[in-house]
Amino acid sequence: MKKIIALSSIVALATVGFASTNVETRLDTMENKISKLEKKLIKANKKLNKVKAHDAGDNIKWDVDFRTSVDRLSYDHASGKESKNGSLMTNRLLLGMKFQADENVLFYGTLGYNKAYGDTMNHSQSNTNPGYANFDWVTNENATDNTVKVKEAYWMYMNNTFMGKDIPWTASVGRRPSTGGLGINFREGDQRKSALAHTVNIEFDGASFKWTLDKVTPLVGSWFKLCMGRGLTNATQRFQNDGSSYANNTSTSSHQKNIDMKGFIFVPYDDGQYSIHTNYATANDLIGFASNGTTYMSTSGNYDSNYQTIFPAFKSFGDLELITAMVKVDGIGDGINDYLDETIIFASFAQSKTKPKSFGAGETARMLGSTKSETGNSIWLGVQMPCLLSEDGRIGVEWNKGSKYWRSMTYGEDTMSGSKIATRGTALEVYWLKPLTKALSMNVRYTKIDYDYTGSQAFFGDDGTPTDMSTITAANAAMYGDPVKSSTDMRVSMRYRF
Amino acid sequence: MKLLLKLMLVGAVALTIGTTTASANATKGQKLFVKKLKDSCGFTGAIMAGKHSQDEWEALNDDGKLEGEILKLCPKKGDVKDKFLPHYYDFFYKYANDSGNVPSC
Repeated sequence: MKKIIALSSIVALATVGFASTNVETRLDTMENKISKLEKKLIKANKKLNKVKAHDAGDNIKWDVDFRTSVDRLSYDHASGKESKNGSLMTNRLLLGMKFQADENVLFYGTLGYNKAYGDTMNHSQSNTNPGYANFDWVTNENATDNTVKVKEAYWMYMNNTFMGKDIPWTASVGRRPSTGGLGINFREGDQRKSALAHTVNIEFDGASFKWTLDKVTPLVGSWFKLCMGRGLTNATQRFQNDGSSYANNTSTSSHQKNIDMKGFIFVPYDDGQYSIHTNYATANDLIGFASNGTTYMSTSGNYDSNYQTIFPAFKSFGDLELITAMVKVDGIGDGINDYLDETIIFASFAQSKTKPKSFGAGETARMLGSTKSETGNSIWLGVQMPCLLSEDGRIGVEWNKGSKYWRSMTYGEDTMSGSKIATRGTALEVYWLKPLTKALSMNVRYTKIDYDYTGSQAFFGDDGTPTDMSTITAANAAMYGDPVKSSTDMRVSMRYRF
Repeated sequence: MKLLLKLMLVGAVALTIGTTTASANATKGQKLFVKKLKDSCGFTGAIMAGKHSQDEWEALNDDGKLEGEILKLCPKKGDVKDKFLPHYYDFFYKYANDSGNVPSC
């Protein structure tokens, strides 16, 4: 029995010994395998990152901005009449496109759709015949029909050095982002687009060249941008009977010149918190309507009541110079408290100056109803701060006042009752922005405009004549086309952005 | 039709009460970068975000090393406030070198 036990013990010990050796061998093998797998995983991750980067840069990046709004509009006319719309409902879709072809070249684009709900009463959703809702400068800002149009499309070349100097610069050509510029972007909670919105807020085809100067000058965050573009191309249509397609249109019944605009934006200081923005622009041969010899303008120089049915032809009335100076403070003080850190204030001053020209033989040179060069001024103040009643909400107040001959190019401003910035008079606006989710936000906005003079929303011809509102009474209002003296626009909108 | 406007307003207020948003966001991070870091870093936010892939930014954030990385890349900056870090992270992650996202001009 003893022998059997001894033998069993020997076998058991030998087995344990063998097993121990076996386990060690297997552990070594496994460690080797794990190490190899780890290496493979690292390699695979690297490859995956490369594929991901390639894939991410291999297609246009789309973003969606879809807004549904209800506007309650009310207009008080000089005669005492009231025009209103209790619920103007619109859908606006903006499809953004971005693509970086290489380190130096980018493409940006935006497709736009903007339409009132359903069909319109005159069975013309586009409101363009008669009317100017599809005018190129504003075609994506007005409620028109259910077509998708190009709002922005441009390429941008970037380089970190300019002629060997440490001056980052960009060059860009196309349909530029000239709506929603600095100032007007706050009430929508948007990032600013290119222009300074106190003087320019219209769609435009053109080019820009920007040089960042802060590394070669002592001016912190300074940059200079040249902008130029064409607002109207004077050309005949394709397939002319005599074969002269796209030649300059010399017909005396139509506009006869191109409209070109050029200028610059100069930022002498921008430390991210305090910044100064300036702008100069000049546009030539701007269009408008003539009051003489027609039935669509009243003898007073203002729109007549039948203007909308005549669809008059534009004439070129002269040139316009615009300047802007704006100070923006993004955060008051430094770390005093979160509320002040998150508060934005801005003040902007702008001036317009006309240079009248004759638009035809026998026509006196005139612009905005005056034969002289007229200067207009405008002041715009705004503040936007956190709303204490809601998390992440923001409230804002803006006020602007324009003088008798003030004329901005802000026809594309996103206000249903007309551009508040163009007001020859006073405009007050209060708004509340509230993000609801990462993608959905709400905006409640109230805009009140009181006009001191007529012609604020008109073009540059006799239609833009500023008649003092105090001289227009219920008795003589018809002679002036019964203009709107004041308006209100209450908007509630929901916006999806992602 | 005034009713419609009122209903929309009531609905909007209800949504406002009933929803909450994530506290950090890339836009705020971008704005903060311009305001607080750009000078110290000496380059744009797009270049900063492009220093790492999304995975790398994620790892730095998860390991609590984001502040250290910012200070490494922008040595002139003395310190970074903790409350801004989630916004910076969202911005860097969104525009990381493998994100395919193109920053605004």
